[in-house]
Amino acid sequence: MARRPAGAGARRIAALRTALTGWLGRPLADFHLLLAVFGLLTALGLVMVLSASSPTSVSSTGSAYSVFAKQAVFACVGLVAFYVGLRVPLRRIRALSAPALLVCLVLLVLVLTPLGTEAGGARSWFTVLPGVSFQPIEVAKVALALWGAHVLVTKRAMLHQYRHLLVPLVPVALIMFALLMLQPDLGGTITLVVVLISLLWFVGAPMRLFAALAAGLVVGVVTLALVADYREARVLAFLNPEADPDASFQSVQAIYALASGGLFGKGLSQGTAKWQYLPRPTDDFIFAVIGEELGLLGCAVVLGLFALLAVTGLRIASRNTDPWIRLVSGTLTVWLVAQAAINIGYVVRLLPVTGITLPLISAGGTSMVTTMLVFGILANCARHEPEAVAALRTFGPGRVGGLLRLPATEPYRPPARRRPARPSTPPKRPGRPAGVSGRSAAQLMEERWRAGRSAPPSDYRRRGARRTGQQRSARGRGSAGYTSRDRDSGRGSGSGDSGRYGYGRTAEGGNR
Amino acid sequence: MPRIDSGRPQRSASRRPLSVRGPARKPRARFGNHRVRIVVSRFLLVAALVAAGIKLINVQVFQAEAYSQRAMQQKATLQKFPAERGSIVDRNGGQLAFSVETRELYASPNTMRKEQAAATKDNPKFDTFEQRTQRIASYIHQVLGDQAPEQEMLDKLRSEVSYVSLKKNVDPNKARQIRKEFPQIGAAYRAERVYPNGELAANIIGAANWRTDVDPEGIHGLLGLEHFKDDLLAGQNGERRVDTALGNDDWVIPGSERDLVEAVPGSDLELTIDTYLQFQVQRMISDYVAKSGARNGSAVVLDARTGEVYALATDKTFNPADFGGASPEQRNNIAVTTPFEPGSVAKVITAAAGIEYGVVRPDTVLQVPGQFPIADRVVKDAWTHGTVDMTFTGVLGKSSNVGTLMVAQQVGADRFMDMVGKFGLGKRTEVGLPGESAGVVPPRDQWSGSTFGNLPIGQGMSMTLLQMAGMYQAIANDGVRVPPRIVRATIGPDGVRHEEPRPEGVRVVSPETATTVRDMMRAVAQRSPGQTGSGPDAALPGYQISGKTGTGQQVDPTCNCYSETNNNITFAGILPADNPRFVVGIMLDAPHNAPYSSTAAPLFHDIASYLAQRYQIPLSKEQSPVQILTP
Repeated sequence: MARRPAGAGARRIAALRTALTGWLGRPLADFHLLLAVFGLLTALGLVMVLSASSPTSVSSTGSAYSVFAKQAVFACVGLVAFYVGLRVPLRRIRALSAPALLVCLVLLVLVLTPLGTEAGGARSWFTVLPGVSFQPIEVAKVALALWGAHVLVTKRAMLHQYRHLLVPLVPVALIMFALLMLQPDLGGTITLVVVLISLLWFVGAPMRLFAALAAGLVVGVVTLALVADYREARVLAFLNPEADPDASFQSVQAIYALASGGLFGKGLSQGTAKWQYLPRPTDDFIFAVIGEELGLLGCAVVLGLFALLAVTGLRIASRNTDPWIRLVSGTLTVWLVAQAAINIGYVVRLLPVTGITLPLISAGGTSMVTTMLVFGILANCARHEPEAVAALRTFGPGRVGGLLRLPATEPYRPPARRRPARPSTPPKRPGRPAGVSGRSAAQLMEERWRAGRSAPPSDYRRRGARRTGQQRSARGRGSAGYTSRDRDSGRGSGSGDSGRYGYGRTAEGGNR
Repeated sequence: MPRIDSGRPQRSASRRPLSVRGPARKPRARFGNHRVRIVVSRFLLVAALVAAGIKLINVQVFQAEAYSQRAMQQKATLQKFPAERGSIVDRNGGQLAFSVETRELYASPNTMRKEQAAATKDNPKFDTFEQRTQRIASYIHQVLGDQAPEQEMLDKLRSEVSYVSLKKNVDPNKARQIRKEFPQIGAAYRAERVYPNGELAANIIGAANWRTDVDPEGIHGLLGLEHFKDDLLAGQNGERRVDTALGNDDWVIPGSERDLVEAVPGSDLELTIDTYLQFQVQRMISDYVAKSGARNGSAVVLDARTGEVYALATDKTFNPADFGGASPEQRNNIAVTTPFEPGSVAKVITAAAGIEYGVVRPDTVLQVPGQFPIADRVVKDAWTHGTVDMTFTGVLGKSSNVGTLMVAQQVGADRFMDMVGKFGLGKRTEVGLPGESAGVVPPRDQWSGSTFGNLPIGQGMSMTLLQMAGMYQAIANDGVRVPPRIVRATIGPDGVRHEEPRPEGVRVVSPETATTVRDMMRAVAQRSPGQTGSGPDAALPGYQISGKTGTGQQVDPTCNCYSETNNNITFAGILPADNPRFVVGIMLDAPHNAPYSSTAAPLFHDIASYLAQRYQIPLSKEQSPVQILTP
């Protein structure tokens, strides 16, 4: 008797799992998940900004909606940015990344001149219109991620040399750090560091680089913290909250607010901490307002949405074939989720207060628009997954895509090795390493590196890869993979390469 | 994960034989596995969020109670709000004092200066501080009119202080109008105490205003009944607990009100005063004091039966709305605070005792010598005479000191003092006014030899005007003295009227004695050839008037002896004598202008005349019979 329910339960779980796997296996699952996360976070953010800002809005302007209205306008602008990120072909975005970064660097310099506006002790804004300001660092983060990925992917073949791995990405990033610290903007710097590290991480930089970076980071953070009094106070307040009640006031208030919320919260707009107790309740500490008004439940929803964003974003990175898309989507995802984690981390007092906002939820014009642009690019990346490309090409744009009038995405075509060579050079025997022809060294490297794909995979391998996926035996995969690669290129290219090129073969094969 | 584990050894195993460019491979071996890196980052990101979640569970579930307790404590504020103050009405319900809700306009010039500077920095189109204050000042002037001159408002707004009160006692509607236009102007709740009759009865009512030195702020009395009955009038302050914003206890978080204790409005006070009578008496005493050149004067009208104070006026009074500008003399209610030596008015004690104890009868003829030696002193009458025959009525009617002392000697000191006590001298009347004096009656053991030569003729002891009138009230009320009172009833916040308990009457003399004394004292106002009393001007045609004149010598502080020039001119009278309705007491302090300086009888006549009209007192059935004063 006791067995049957257990069996039924197990069966049900298995059924659920099958359904979930089936749903996740659908070609555009990531795209739809991303849209859902995006919509929910945006809506929740707007609601919470309204709730958190109403007391101070009423007292300063007489209307409860002044901050909210501004945020709603920014959200509308952000939706346009989202659509642009979704609609513009990734190829063009990649091409635009270098000029964009250049513009951002110029803006970061200009913001330090009298053209910039100082507020809250930092010269970080351009006042576009009265009451509307623009923070160049937010855009610079995206530009750095896009351009960095572009540079790294372009130099992919030479990345085993530190020189190529670090230059020009790290110097450019260092310039940006320097410009940021002149504002000064600690939060922006930390986000940039996250972007830089995740770029290096996903491109596959060696671990010892990260060890060195971590050491440097610790030194840097300690130095930065000790240089400015307010940062030192923040850190000390974090380490020993009881010593100086005034300094730790902010974070204690956040804890009070969260605790007052309890499991289910006091109800939307019923919170009291936003009445001047919480510092910056509309941006830095909006998570505490969520905790007070929506309780642990609301906090869990926010955490869950960001976790879902992490999983989805990284899934997009892993399922794409274009190395630039893989790098970009991974980096952007890590940036957004890390920013959320840092923000939530300091609200719940796991980290010192750094003034990093909660993406899509905190009030703040430029960051809102930029985050929405990033979501657009991520969604665009999701539509470039090979299955998605195939599905879009086969079944049309689908409901969402149709509504948004999105064009069908282009499949990834790796830079062709032969075509430019063909007119000038007679065809060589396939599989033979170069060195003979008149091609440039770079081209040569590139070709060698991707030699594993120079020949179309056999039907057997394609089908086998599809069918068995990850569960195919190590032995079979290993032997098949390496045999072919060794045969084709004469050199191994690392154990992860099969994953890196995985589904690209379909498109490639179809193209030939 | 198994991929890497299986991949690496295989690769090295399979690569080695083909290794032609060995050294070049090394850096590539360091290169990370994209898939692993994704898994690792996913793990790290989710782990960070989970860590935050665990901390959240700790805070929001396990420590929620303790932290939220502290959060509540730091927000809770106890707010008190003043109860509405009761009003003061006269015996006819006419308003003497009441409260109205107002607003006090204020501003924070320093904050405003900063705000405007910040605003103009953002947007040059905004007002500068100067423009802003100019607009505010002219708008306030436009709304409030001449009570708020534009320049005065402007000066206050531009002063370099953090808080400035712009205008007090502003109509709430106008304040709202101003605040709607300029939210930077604050409007604080205030109440204004209004005295519609101005100076009238200010010496009784006193004054109250908005006090900022109490918690909570509110109207409290400082003088007179407003002060004396403050607890009753003020009511009970209400309170509630609210959550307020940080740093501003007035900024209440909506919906956080709790533990409300409603304020209980103060009770209304109904006085025994008749506003019209009070007005006339006040006017008359002021006029008479001015005419007679007295330092001051006071008059009181008591109900003959109940002892209720119908009017209690002094010549000097003040405007309660601006009592700060009043002099101490103006604020002093001398009728209860300042005792004086009454002179012959006190002869009523001897008269009552003489009749009560059967020592004399009204028609007993006394052989009154020109002077009466007692101990080291000699007492004479006001006019020089040899030994004359006088009835006892004549002794009173002509106010003979010698005759009175002769009777007093027969009464004896102990019985005399007993009577003094029964008449309420040396004790406060407890009329219900602050600062009341008991007067001074020298106790028996402190008497000198001449004391009993002074007391019967109203010297050597002092009494207040109210005590003086009280003695005659006992005579008017058939021998029962009802201590005077001024508060008739309190009307509670529920609208229920609570009559003040009528004070216990004190039997002073028998009704017969009272009637006899009353009848005897009709001789004072008698005008008849050869038989004229000491105060014939007091007579009111148609009414029998019973009364007594008095001239008390004042003590000259320079020689500490009785002054020959400064007298207390007093009068006490009963209207009408045959069916008493009112008792009137009058006292003038050192009048100098003849003919008013010698007697207050004409003033009694005026007051009695008004009383007869206002209360439509029926005429006496017959004129006072002419009594034989000197046979």
